[in-house]
Amino acid sequence: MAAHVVAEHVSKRFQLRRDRSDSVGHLLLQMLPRRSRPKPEPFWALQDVSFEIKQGRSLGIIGNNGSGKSTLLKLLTRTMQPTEGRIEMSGRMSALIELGAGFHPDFTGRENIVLNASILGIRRRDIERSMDEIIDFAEIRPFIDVPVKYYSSGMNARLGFSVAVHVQPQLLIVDEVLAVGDEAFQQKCMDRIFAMKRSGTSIILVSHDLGSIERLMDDGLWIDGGVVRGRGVPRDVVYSYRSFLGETTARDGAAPNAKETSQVSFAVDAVAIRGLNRHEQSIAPGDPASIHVRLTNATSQTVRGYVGISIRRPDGLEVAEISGLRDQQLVAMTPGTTHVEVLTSELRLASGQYEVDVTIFDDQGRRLANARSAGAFRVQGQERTSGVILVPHEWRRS
Amino acid sequence: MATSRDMLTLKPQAETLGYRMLRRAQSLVLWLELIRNLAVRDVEVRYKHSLLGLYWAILNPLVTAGIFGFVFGVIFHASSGSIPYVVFLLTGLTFWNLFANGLMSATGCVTGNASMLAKIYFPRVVLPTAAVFARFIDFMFSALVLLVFILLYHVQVYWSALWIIPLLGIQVVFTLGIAYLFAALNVLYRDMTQLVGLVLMVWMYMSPVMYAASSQTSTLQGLLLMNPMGGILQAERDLLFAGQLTEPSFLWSAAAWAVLALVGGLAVFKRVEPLFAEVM
Repeated sequence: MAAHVVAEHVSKRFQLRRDRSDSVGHLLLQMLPRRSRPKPEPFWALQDVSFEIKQGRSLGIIGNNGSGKSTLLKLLTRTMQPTEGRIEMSGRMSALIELGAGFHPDFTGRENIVLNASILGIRRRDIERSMDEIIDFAEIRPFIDVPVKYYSSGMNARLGFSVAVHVQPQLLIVDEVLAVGDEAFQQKCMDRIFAMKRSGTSIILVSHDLGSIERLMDDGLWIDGGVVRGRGVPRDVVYSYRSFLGETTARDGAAPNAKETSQVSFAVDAVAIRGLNRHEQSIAPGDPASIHVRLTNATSQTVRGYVGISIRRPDGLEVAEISGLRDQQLVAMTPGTTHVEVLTSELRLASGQYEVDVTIFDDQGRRLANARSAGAFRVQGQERTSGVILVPHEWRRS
Repeated sequence: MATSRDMLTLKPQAETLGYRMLRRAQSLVLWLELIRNLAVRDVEVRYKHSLLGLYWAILNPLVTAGIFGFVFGVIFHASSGSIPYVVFLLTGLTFWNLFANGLMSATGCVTGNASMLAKIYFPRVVLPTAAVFARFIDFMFSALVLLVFILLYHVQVYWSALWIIPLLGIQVVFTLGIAYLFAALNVLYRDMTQLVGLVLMVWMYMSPVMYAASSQTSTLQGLLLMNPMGGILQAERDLLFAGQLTEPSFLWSAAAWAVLALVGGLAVFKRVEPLFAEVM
């Protein structure tokens, strides 16, 4: 599929000119002859950055403050021009870069929706149609006819996000602004972003939340001092970034240089996790549950192999592994679709959100396919428990 | 989303001239709509959140006409021919204010809308254009006031006044050109607004706003009308009250100035535009 965004050898230089006059008065003063003038200091905010994002893929950008992430986003949104290199993209772009960007403080929320949409390339009559949806998503209906300058930062971010996602962009750029929303809204935004991704929108996300970059993005890009320090599988990029930060988390299972196998012959189509006690989506701690995996074998012959399932917390912590290899559960994958189900009588997980990775191995233990975040589920108990697992217990006086 | 895929796959073969022209036309329509939205909102906001509302657009020229009318008409006995001096003055001020206010609003509009620039790129030239058009909306209200005065004083108006419409076109083009220049420079030099205020004051006194150019010596008259705003103002007043152009040749020079200002202003604006995000 065609590349959606291509950045080739992009560099951006800023002139930190100490002598730049910012008023006419100053300018006139400068015309007086002087002995020496401070030389302009070039500052390279970005150097030789290249990457590409294919249609429907997502890129997570990480890096310290001042590393050049925001400059990169400004180049991508074309509010700045690169000094060298080129950036090409196709389709409609929508961005949520900084708080209140694109809003006119004196206009009401409703007026700003129209204004913002027309900046993004949507006609008024088209945006009027999705007006209610935008307002409801942002949850600011009571304040929609109030000038935006009276909005709280949370309302501002919600409205900005809501407009940005409702203009049906083909590329969505999101900076850290989401951090101002509460947890529920952040979750809602993330859900929305991924719903868009599933329908073909490419995503660029800049975040300091390494966990979400690692678990949600297809590719990672680590920038430091304006230079690309890491690029590729988010897990690896985040790992090297963490090592760089000196806070390497102990995780023996995940080899940092594990390469994504690019086999397309096998694929994990769907993973469904259901609690067997009730009919709801959520599962209570300790409920019996089933994990249902649907695989595709695109080759013409039956291949025998193993299925590995790994349950992770959203921040990347691996909670449990169910390995068909270890259990010696050889699965015959016939050409076409194969269903595999794992049942557990007690899913002893504490309340929270979990994700499931599925890996397919051949009978020699070689990896055939790997699907990160192939499924997700929520465990919800009556009481909020902290931690990850539920320990069956009884109390006794001793 | 099937549509987005279609668009992407269509792209290579569709890059024909016709397609590009269509795209350009589409985006032009879009930017025109953005200009309109911005201008209308600008006027609304300006008057909705202020005490006297839209009356400001009317009150301002009225008070100015009143005080200048008193000083120049009563104290200095300025002559304005057959027309009452107040009407004469109000006419000059109404048309002058379109230029002056447009220029003033446009100068600060890029720096004043910093938050809007941070989003997605759109042609920045939209902002000063919208600022000028917002003042054009104001102008239409003050033109109504002028009309009331003309009726009150029973001043004879000629049908040739309809020619003012194309003349306003020249004036707006000239205003836009100067507005682009100052809007761009104001990003680099923030005290441009002070300078514009000063320039406008001198410019107003050098233009036939409070006096008629025709009542001066011919050398002075030529000098006053070489100034494009002078030529335009004189012509507008002539068309309204004299029924003909007294100095048609200066109108050509004004039109030439207008085109020159637009081309030059746009060129400077385009040149400075890439720096906007960096210096703001």
